[in-house]
Amino acid sequence: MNGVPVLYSSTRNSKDANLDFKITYTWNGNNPQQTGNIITIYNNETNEVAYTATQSNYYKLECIVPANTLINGVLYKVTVNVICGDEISAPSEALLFYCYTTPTFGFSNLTQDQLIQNDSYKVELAYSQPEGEELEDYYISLYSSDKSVIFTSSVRYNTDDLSLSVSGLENNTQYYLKAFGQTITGMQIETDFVLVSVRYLQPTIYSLIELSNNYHGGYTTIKSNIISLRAYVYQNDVEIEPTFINGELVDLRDPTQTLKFEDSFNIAKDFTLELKGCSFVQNSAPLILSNGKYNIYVYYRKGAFAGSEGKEKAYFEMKVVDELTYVGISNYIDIPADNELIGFMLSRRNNHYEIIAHNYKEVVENL
Amino acid sequence: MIILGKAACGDTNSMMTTTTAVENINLIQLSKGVFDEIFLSTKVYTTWDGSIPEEWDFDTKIHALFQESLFGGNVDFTAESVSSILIKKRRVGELQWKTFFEIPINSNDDFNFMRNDFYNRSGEEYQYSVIPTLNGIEGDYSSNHNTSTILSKFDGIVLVEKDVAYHAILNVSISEKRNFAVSVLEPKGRKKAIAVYNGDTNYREYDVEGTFVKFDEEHCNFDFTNSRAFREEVDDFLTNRKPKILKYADGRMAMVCIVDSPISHSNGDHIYSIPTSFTAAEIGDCESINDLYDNNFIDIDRDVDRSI
Repeated sequence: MNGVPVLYSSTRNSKDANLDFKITYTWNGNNPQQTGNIITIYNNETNEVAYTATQSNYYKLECIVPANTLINGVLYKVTVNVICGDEISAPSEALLFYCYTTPTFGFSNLTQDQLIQNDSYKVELAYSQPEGEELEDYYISLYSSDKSVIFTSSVRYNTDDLSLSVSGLENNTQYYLKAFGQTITGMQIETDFVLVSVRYLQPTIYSLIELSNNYHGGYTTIKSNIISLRAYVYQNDVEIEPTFINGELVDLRDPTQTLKFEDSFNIAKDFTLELKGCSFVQNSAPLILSNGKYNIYVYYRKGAFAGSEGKEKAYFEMKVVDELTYVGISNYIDIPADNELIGFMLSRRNNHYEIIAHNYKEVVENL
Repeated sequence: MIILGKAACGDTNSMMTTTTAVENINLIQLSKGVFDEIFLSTKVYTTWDGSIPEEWDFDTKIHALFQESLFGGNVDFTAESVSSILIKKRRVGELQWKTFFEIPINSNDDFNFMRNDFYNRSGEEYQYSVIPTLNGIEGDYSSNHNTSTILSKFDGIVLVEKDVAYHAILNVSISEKRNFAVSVLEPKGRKKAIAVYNGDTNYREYDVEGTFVKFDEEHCNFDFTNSRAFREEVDDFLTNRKPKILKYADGRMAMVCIVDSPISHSNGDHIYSIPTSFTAAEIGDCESINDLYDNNFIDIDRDVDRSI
């Protein structure tokens, strides 16, 4: 009989001795049919036979190794002989393989039916193996609800950080996620399918980018709506760290401190400005608008007037100063406590101004 | 009436007011108090119940909440904390974003940018997203309102190189064929032929014809009087040996080179209306970011994949 069986190179991949596994081979013998095979597995260190079996097998070029025959954590080598009637082929060339316990591999930040409230999600994976076998590489696939593949990530080789981002998830859609990996010795591992639902707040029509289609030019124009603006607080013209109250209000009661928004914005003509705060100092100007040459002041004032039926009331007064001065006052509001929120709206249309005051009757704690 | 520089009729109950002009306001100063919120819009409101709009719109210029920060814009970054802005694009229904533009940010004025994207098919919906980066690290994809969708639509054919596009709307025709490598053998002693498929060649070829005339958008008119000069400009463009994107109103789009000299002009139906015809062969995948970068259509190689 001619022909020596050749073991598939996948034989080198590590196996879990706690489970049945197969050793497969090819054989091109000149006899019409094999009738069986002999598998012999040696402990590679001692060269003792760890397992041998003769199996009758007419069709399949494989040998089954039953569970719990070998021991995990040990390096073995295997050879196979083919039986053809009364004849036995020479043994195949031996191939080495490890036995290792199947690692645990799964998502650490995903559970079944998890709700994802964003259009992207950073998936984290956890891997462990009792005999210290390391992970070689991994990747994840995203499936639609009928389990057809939508996206497969590139294979990641940095196994110190087992995480990757899945982006572009559609709103009100269900997906399955599954991760695949391979150990250093070639054991293929995978997680279960994890079903996730995606639901997030749809962005409003306003966007940081404004798109327009140019029909006659055949192109799309992308215009930025990004407004990047930050105020600074100065004390005697030196920039300082601002003081916040309750993490929600900025404290500028120290008369030497001033907050300024400058540059990156320009209000050419008409506008509406709304401001909310408390502890304003009587007869001082909590707000000044300027174009570098002329100013608009808003003063906080108190007084008893005929219009307030003789009772003392609070109000805001605006003074627009260019070559002339234009003064307007708001409606009257009840005198607020020091920690009571008040505000005003100042608007301008065609150089005509209007100012409206409001008392929120809300108290700021811990002031 | 003006007394000592003040308008005496300046009260809210006055019959008339004296207008004063403080325009181009570019500084806001707050002091002597505790401030919860400031909002500034170019929309004019005339009544107020104390409520301040929560959502940004196109008229909003400043909205600062002073919640542990002094940001007053619609993003929580400034030029100091951002090195560039990426414009990413995908077709609606696709999952992966592709980066088409990178805008370097050196000052806050750089946030005010505009770009034209010529690489869209007609009749397709596209989604765009802007993403800040700091030293190459991308920021959040889904912060507030950073995506927007548009339907791309145009008429006729458009030929595009980076930042240059020529558009023909009149007398447009396009015929397409798909070339692939096959040879037919007729061996002796065999009745039927044998088809041999050697090679992977598989590309489209287009015969294109159209009248290139400048379109005056303002007056919605074709500029026929200068059509000869414009036609020669188009001829120079067609023969500059550079790859182009060919787009057609029906949604076809291909990365092509002009092949099969000559570019020809037939007699049109009018002295100024002379069609140009040429042949173009597909040389790359117009949807592939690799091919767009390699053929000089885009400048950014952030999503170029060189793995084999």
